[in-house]
Amino acid sequence: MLLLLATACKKPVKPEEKIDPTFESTVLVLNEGSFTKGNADVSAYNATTGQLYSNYFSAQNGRFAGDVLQHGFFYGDQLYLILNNSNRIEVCHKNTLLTSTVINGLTLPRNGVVFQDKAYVTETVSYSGKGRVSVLNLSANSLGAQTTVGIKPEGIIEVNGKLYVANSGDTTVMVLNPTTLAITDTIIVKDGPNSFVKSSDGNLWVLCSGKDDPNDRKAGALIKINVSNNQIIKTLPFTEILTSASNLCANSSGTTLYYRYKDQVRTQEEAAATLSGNVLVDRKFYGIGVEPQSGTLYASTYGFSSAEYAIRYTPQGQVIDSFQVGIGPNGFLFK
Amino acid sequence: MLMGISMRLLFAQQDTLVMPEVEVRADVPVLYDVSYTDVLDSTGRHYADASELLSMQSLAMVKNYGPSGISSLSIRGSSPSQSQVVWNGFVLQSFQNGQSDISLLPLSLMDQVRLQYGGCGALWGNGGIGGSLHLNALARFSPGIHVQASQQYGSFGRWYSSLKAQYATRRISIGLRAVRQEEENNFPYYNEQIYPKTWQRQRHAALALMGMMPEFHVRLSRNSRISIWYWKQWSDRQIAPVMSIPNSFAEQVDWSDRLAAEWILRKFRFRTGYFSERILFQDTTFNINAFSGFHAWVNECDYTGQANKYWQYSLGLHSTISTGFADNYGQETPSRNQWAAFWTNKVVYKRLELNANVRQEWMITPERWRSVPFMPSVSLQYQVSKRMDALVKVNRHFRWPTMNDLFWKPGGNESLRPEHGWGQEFGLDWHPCCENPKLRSWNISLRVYSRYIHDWIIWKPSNSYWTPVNLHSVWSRGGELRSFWKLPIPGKVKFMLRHGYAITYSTQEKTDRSNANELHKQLIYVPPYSMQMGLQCNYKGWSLESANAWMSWRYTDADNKHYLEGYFLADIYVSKEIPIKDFSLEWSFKIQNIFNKQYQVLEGRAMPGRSLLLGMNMQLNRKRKTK
Repeated sequence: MLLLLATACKKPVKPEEKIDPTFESTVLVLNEGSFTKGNADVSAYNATTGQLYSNYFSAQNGRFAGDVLQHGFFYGDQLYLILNNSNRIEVCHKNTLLTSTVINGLTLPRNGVVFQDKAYVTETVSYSGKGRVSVLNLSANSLGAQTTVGIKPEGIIEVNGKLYVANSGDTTVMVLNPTTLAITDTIIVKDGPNSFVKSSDGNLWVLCSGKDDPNDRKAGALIKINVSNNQIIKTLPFTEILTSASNLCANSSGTTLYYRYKDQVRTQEEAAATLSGNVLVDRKFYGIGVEPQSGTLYASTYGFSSAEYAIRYTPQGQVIDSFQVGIGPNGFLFK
Repeated sequence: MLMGISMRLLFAQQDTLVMPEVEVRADVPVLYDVSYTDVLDSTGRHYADASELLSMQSLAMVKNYGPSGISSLSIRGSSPSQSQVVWNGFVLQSFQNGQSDISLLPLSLMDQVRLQYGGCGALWGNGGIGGSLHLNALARFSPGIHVQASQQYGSFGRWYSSLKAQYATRRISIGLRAVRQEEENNFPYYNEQIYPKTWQRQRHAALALMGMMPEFHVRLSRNSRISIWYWKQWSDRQIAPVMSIPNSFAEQVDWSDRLAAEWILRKFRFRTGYFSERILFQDTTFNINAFSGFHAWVNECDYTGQANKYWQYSLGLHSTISTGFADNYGQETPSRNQWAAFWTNKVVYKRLELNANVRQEWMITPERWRSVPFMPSVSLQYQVSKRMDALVKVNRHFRWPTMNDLFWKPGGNESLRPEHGWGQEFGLDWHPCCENPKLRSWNISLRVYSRYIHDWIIWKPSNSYWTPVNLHSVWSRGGELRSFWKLPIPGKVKFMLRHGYAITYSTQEKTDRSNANELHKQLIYVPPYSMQMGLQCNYKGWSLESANAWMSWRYTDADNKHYLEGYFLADIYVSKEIPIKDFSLEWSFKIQNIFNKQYQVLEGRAMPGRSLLLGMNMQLNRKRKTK
């Protein structure tokens, strides 16, 4: 027994991965970490060589990225990491992930989109009131103008020089002028709009999760918006009242939509007149993404206590392989 | 005869406040358990609360979220809800989350602080798998007026005031204990979690606490006493942000009312207690305004008898009726009625001491009636030689799911099973210098234990919320080595040294497929190794003390990929006592974390570096002349 005690627990080896200086990733995995532990990290993977660094950001920077890594976007050689509970954006090099600066002054930032030399970031601000959109001047990496939008703004996308903001705490999609930040239109959709993709014909799909308030239960829907007049073209409602519809993404042509629903990954052919409910992968994931060139589906497992996995699937839903990532992986960025 | 408390530790003997004729009726675990028990400093002058004290003077892991944050106790690799806190024989654990915030336990309200290592389910029932912290305010019948007032001022806006006042005759005793604590906690720390890494001051970490405990005791006869204590406390604290978050807007207010009464009548003891705790947690960022709490009424009676000169026993009944409330319980106000019967035995025959205890519990809710497995505990101590004792102990553990586990909406899981398991312990106590213990003493104690807990409850993410499940089996094993030297040196210098070293290995031995990489891995925040050491030197009213604690690395994720570095902390305390007849004045100066170590107990939670504390303690013992 004493021998066991003396040898049972060895001093761990610091997870300082020796980084190959020539390494270039093709996919970055955003690991949001555990809430209030400040252990968000980024995994880097090269799909061609299979080379992987599960804790790439922390290995390069000697610290974690912050608390709750929510989203990220590229601009030139820079990667912008949106840290929701740290109320900041880390600006780092898109290959080395070495941080060059941080942008503070945000309040619960969620998502961002680049348009010209600016980025537009949605912020929850408060769970009891309206959120806002803030402008980042990417040349100076400084915070610019801000405007108030709906409740819990989540997804944001730019189409034809207009910004579309999904207010997940209500039933609206707001249209903003990126120059003036004026709200030019408000589209009433369904409860819980959260994510967008562009359709193959240049219009916009928005996924609404629905509402599961015991006193006010509403089913969600997949809705197509005509961006020229901001009118709804098509509404594909879910039959069940759940709030799990999220993570809308599409293949490069925009003809096939992917989303998470009921602990499954489902697909929807854009041309279909009704919601097909086709189950591509019957497994619970936390984040999904579709690699634009190959159409490979990347899906990350759900958990916040230890390292999780990213699993790759063919567009037909066959498993290709998997690799270990970080804690709470919620999304993928494809270079 | 062997005692439950194997070895007295250093600072316990420093308590100059404890007046003569303190009436102590030993707790059941002391009489009937052989678990190792640390007797710790209860003066409140060295450390303000149980969190500070246990961090420096025990081998338990104190999960400290920072100076104004919550602190919970983990003993021998258990979870905080598996380590009990007991006040005057009443379990203080929250019925809602199963934990007790030991940073809200001011030591200056107590007379005794003891930490018992190892579970004692047959004696204390639900919980207490890893061990238990016992805080006692004793009945005192020393005729006269006794007053002690302390005032401390320290770094980072720390003010601490305490008062103990008592008037007693041979028959009655009335007293008041009070405490007031204020801290700014705006200490500087090196923030390694932001870019660029830099020194900054802690923000939003202030704390205010006020507590009082009036008490009344009356001796009805030589064998009969009634005691009443009322412990009322309020605290308001800012919840500091983690290091990677610029600020926090969270605050928590805690109110507690604890009324306890005890009636000792010959060999019978009747106890009753009413406990009400309320918590208001507010966070404007997340729009949280949560008010929760519980009320509990505890009753217990026991009879202690002596069958013959070898055999002592106690028989008792226990009941706890508790009701909880929280916004997240919805319309429900869950209530539980917990009953228990226990029978404890102690047989001392020549060199052998046998403790055999059994307990049966029932949990009655409006919906159903449940019993848990029979809870036995058996320990055997044998005096191997004049200087060595050996012991073995086997006992069963269990813990009910808490109200939050069962009723929290969303996520609560009413089909949860209690945690349960078995523990074994082996020990050796060696006291080589026992010819004249008044002059010098030397004790060495070794404990080795193993404990297997099944149906360990953890909260896991499920859909858009978290839910508790009986997921894990956890095997905890380890060893503790302690030593204590007391050496008077010619010239009236007293020198004392205590030392403790622990190896704790607590691993998941069963989990589900989604957590396969966590199998056989050490639980998070359980240090594989820890050590504490204390040194004390007394000379003509001067006292020089040093307390040192070392904690090895602690894993921060369940698959043991990341960990926090170990740390070593050292405190130094110097005091001078000036006695003037029945009055005494003591000045003290303390440096905490003397090496200004930057460390984290829990990931991302800043801890203070070096801090200073200046204190003054006045004591009046005016004895009443009796005819």
